[in-house]
Amino acid sequence: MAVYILSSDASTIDFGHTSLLARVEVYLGPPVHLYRPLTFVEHSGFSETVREEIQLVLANQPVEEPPQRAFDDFVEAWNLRAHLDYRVLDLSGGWRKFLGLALFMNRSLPARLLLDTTSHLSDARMETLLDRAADGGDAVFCEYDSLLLRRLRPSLPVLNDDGTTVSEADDS
Amino acid sequence: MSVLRLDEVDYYYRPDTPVLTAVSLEMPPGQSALVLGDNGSGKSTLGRLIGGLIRPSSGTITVDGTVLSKTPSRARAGKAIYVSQISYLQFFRATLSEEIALAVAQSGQESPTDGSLEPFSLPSLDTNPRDLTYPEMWRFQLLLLGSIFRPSVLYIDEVVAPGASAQQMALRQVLRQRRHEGRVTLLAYQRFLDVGFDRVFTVARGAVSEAGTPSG
Repeated sequence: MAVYILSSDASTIDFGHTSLLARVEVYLGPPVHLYRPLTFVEHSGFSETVREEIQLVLANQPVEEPPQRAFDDFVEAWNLRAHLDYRVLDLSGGWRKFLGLALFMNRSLPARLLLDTTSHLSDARMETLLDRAADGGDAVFCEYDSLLLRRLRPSLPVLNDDGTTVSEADDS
Repeated sequence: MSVLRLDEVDYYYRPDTPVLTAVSLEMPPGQSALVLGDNGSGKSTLGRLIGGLIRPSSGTITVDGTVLSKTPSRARAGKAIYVSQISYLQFFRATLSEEIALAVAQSGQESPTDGSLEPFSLPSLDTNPRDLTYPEMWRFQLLLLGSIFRPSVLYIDEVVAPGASAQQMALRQVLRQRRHEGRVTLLAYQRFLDVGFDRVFTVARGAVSEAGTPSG
């Protein structure tokens, strides 16, 4: 499964994500599912701990988007074991964002457009995310700081902003 | 005399879960520091303590020689400000110019000149702050809280798109101005940033330690 970096400007991420999604669908084919950060309130609100949140989400995913990994496998793959008994609201902003991203990425989807994943996540979280992004379905990352992503994965191909042209990553 | 001083500061969300333990540090006038740490290391908690938004479980934080927890809220903004990760919660008005006027009125500081706004690369001052992009919002917040409010201590929690030249220019401007005015600035982030900090602290396993000089 392919992982791409989409070069775009910040205003597109903030205000043009609908057209951005449409453009990526031109390239990858529909449907492409959008991940957009929601100011750290990225949990259901129906659970107390990280363990309960994961169990709740995995048990209630749409039939057509079954979980790629069951509970234990998911926890290991996303390095969440040490945080299972934390209250979700006690997590740091970065960890709460990471948990929301992990649960989104665990849905069986053909393609994803991921906006602004790098803000608030350390290199260790980004490494895990990039590893898991390669597990299933295509993933397109559109970032304010795409150089950061390219530093972590220099070989990732870069899409032009019109979603139609692919070029190999370089430092230019 | 140090502008910022932490003496044996502990912080617990719950009795059995310490977030920060025995944190002591001092920063003299004009100094800046990068606070490095992984997700969940306690960088934001340290910032909220230094900004006076939460109180230490034990130990004391002093700014300009005054114990922060004994400073009334309205006076605290002149002493210490924590710049939140969730930028738009700190905006109140419908345009950038109104927001700047509010900051000037609240802080009692002078209005910024056109020249002093340039390094922040903002769009038209008629723009609604909620219509800014996330990186623009970060720069605007830096202008308001770091450059107009000018607290003795400013703790900036995270930088958006630190590789972008506009972000670096705004940050360098605030560091330069605050150094010149003898004010202390800290910025928390997960990665090293080479924008001229005087010191680097690391936060890990509840402890804050000095990581040597910021040579890169």
